[in-house]
Amino acid sequence: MSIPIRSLERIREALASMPETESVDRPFAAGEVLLREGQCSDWIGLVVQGEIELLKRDTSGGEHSVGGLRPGQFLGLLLLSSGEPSFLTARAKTAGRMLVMPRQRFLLLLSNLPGFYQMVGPLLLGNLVSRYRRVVQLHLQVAELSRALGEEKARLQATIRELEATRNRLIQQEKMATLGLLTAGIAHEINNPVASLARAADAIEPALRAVLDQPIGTTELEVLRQGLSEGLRHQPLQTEVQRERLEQLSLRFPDLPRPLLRTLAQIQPAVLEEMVHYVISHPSVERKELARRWVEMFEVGALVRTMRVAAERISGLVRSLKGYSRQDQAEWAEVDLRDGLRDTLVLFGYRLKRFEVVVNLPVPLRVRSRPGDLNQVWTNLILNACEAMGTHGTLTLSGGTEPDGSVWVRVQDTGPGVPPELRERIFESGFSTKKPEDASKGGLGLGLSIARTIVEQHGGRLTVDDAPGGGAVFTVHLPGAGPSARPGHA
Amino acid sequence: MNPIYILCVEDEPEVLAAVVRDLAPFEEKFPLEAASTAAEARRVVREVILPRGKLGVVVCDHVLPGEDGVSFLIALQQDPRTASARKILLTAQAGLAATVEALNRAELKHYVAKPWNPEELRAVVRRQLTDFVLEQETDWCPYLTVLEADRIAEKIRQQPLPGDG
Repeated sequence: MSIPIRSLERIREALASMPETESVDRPFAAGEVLLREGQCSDWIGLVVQGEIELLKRDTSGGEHSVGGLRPGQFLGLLLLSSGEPSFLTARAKTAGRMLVMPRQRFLLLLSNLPGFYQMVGPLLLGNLVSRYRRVVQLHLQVAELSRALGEEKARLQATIRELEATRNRLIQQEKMATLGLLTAGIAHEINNPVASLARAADAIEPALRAVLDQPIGTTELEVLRQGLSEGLRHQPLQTEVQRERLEQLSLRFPDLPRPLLRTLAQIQPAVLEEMVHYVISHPSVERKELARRWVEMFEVGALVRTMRVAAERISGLVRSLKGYSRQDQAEWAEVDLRDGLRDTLVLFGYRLKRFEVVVNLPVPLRVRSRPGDLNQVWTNLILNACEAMGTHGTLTLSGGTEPDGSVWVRVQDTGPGVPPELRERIFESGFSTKKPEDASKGGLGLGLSIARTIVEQHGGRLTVDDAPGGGAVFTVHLPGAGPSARPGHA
Repeated sequence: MNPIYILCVEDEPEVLAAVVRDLAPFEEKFPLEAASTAAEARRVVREVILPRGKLGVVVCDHVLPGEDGVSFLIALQQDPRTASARKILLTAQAGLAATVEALNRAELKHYVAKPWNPEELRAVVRRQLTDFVLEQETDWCPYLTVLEADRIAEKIRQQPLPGDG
């Protein structure tokens, strides 16, 4: 509400001309504090010129502007009748002046001086109305603000839910990517024994037929049995050794076909010499024929051994796979971490083939865990090490126990290492040093973040450091399974 | 006559034995050498095969300890003495990228997936050996019995007689 300057000026002149009002002209400068919150004041001022800002302190000490006074408005109006300490601070926004009167005098004059009320009454009333309006407006603003805040809060909650859903989806995708690698690994690991099993089964039949194509006497049977056992005992030679023996045999027996010489090269030299002597001492057709059948029988034995080895490899893989995929069992169980580590190494063997792998796990590492989850940790750490090393290097897996019963597992590589400034960042979701075009290789940059989350769910820590001699070393610390689980600690 | 060699590279001894057994029928004319790593295979090429003859066909696994099969094949391709050898990948697991690299940089001739069919493997090797012989040799008659006889016979028929021209 604004008072016409002319009537305000008239009021000021009138008040100033009445000595009983004891009014004083009070100029003020911009920024001057005219009234401080919490202090008492015994005067009331009528603003004649300039603007005054009203400030209120909140509980935490911050000051807020709660309105202002313009010419025609009173400063100290709220304190007029009560005389309580000031409710607000008043600070001059611009330079100006006001007409100041003692509070008691003002009150006295209001009821006693004829004409005084008629003069200032409308001003007082106008002041109160304008302040009341301001209060109503503030109420409306508060209502509007809390509605906007509510909306904002709802929107933020929706965003958080969305982010959580996205993160879960990404974790799921990362798991699927690992699963893809795992499947590829199993396909590779299982294909080799399956191939050698199938090929050995194919080769056994013609070999047996070649032995059985003629009647066998009792003495011959004994010789053939020996050929079979010799074959069953046979360990595949290193290709270098075999090449050398094949070379010598082909010089010694230039007429024999190479495939036969290759089989002869597999036979223990002493046994072979015995057979050569047997044939050469009496080079009859019968003796040559028996030697031929002996070699076929040796071949049969070697093929049976090959099949056993292949079958054992396949069942070993299946065992590892069963151990690895205990993810379905979400229950906590006491386990030896070495089992999961070994299963993971077996299943990702094809990824590790190009690296040296050193395993140093001398003591049981017993913890209470969700084993399937921890296998995810080993997988992520091992795959991370493989990626860091590229085409060659050494992966070292070691583990042990601390005096307090807690256990540690270290996965160390000989890659470029992790610079100190990235050591925390690599555990963030989506942080990846891989180029975007490599993303198809499986990683979403969640591997280490997931690993750390799982380790923390187990009450442990996952950290990274420089490995001695270059490379990175990731250390998992986990609480031990408890004293009962450590019979070794007497 | 300098022999034309077949070289097999495979790190699993039982699998290598199976490959060698399957390819034994070719040994009558084409001696076979086996190696379990790329490094050993390089040594065999340098110390055994090249001093005596030529490298005709390589059957190579991809996932090997140390250097992988594809990079070994590329190295063979870059060496003029072995560039003409026919390269076959016999593997359970060569990713798309590695296979494409072998195609582009080693002129990979065939990809055989494990576990393989022995007849198919022999057919692939026979075709590649035939190609090699027709391309690199002038006297084809000795190979008629082990290789693709039709193609060799056809080629012999097409040859100008000594009196022609």
